[in-house]
Amino acid sequence: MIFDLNIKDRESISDLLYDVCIIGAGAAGITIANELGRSGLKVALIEGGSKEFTEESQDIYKGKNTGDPYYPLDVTRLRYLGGSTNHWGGMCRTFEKIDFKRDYLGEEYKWPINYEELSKYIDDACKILEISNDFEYLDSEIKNVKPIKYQYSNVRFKSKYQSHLINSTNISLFINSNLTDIDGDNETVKTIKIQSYTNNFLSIKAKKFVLALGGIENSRYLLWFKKKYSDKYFDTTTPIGKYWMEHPAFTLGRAFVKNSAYVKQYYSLKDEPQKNSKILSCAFRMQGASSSETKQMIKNLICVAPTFGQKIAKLVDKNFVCGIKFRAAWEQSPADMSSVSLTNKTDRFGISQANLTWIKNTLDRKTIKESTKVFNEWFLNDDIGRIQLDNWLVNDLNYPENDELGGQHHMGGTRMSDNSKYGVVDKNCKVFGSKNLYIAGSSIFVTGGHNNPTLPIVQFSLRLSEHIKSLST
Amino acid sequence: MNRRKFLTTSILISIFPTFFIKFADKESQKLKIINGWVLKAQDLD
Repeated sequence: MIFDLNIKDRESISDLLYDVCIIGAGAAGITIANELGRSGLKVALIEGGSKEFTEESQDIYKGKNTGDPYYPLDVTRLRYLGGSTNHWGGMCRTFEKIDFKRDYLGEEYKWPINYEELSKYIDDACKILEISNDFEYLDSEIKNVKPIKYQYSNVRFKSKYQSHLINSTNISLFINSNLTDIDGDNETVKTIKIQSYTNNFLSIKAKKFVLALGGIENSRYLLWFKKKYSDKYFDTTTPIGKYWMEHPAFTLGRAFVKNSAYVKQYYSLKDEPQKNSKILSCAFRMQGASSSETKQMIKNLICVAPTFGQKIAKLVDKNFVCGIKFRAAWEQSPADMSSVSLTNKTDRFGISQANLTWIKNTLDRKTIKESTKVFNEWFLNDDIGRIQLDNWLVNDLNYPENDELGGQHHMGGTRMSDNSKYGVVDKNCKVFGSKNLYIAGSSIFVTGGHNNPTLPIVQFSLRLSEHIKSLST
Repeated sequence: MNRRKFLTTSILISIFPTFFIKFADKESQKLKIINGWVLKAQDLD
């Protein structure tokens, strides 16, 4: 069933008591709605946007950036049915075992679950994203470095699931329905209030509520409810909005390689060099350079090493050597100073806009510097080619501002933890101090790995669905 | 690059190392960083 709150024609709907109300119909919200609906639970799925992109909905994402240079908040994500899967690149890879074993870096890195508790959902998540569960090459014989594999999904959640959601008897999809308030008793949310762009209002009653609003909005709404109701509904001493993470993504330089097999390949470091250097993970990307870029690169080399450069120039002419752009996206350390907070400005529904303070710290710089050093050792020791690093990396200058900056992957802010000092939700994604409020999406990630977040978002959503089903039987 | 292509390349390199172009011998591993280029000392000969 679908209800468009812009056209309020179902007055009686407010009398229904749903088993679960999910707010946000992106990858996480739709996955959970489908799973719970299939099990027979009555689900309300609340989407602030429409079935298509609208400016009035997208405007709700406007906010402020007060940290490192970053994209405007209303362009890094999409606010309509299907969420940001409407424009994602489809790159899929999930967490690795080492991502759950970063305790040696401090308590902030400690997951309350282990790798196996997530990996058991990989097959079903891959089916949803219509990709193969095939992410690893055979053991790499390269010292310290391993090639890594991604799968590419063409799934847009709106296209794939819109008909199913509309035709489902157990799922009620509300569009143009913006969460504006909550109501209930101590520690228990009983009702949410939603509002349309045409100023229609509706209350939705449910036994359990799941916020699946995205990697910035989950923090924003919890902060808003904290501001409005103090600790009435949940523990407000937790680090809501803090430990926000991205995947820093920058061009590191350029290189030439002796074999085109290395082009378009992705690499990361094996576990040992990461542990030995006390750094996080990094994915190196080798992208083919154009002929003019390659020629310029060789010209630069000739200036530095004339004889060697001339030798390489001849090999380039014979297509024995190719030029590449040397890029990387890496894991950011969880730090409380990198955060989502509220501004004094409100959106059209009176809710404070988000203020994103994305800050990269010294460990983030160390991760890319040390990782590049290890990668370079492989390049030279195995005579793969030569790399020319950009000035900012060699001389520890500011990060370039006219680069990719980040993967537009919003993680943390409502992380899971056994300890409310470092997390906002417990291992079952229930908000600390609440009896029935859950969080879904990448905001619960304790650490970010270097992997794209959508596949693990779907895995965690399947896990949360299973937990909610177990409580409802 | 697919798995097959990568493995084929790796196998070829391991079986026929001299078939592939060598920029420099493995001796003289001392690194030099000049104008961003990370080079072996012998690259500068």
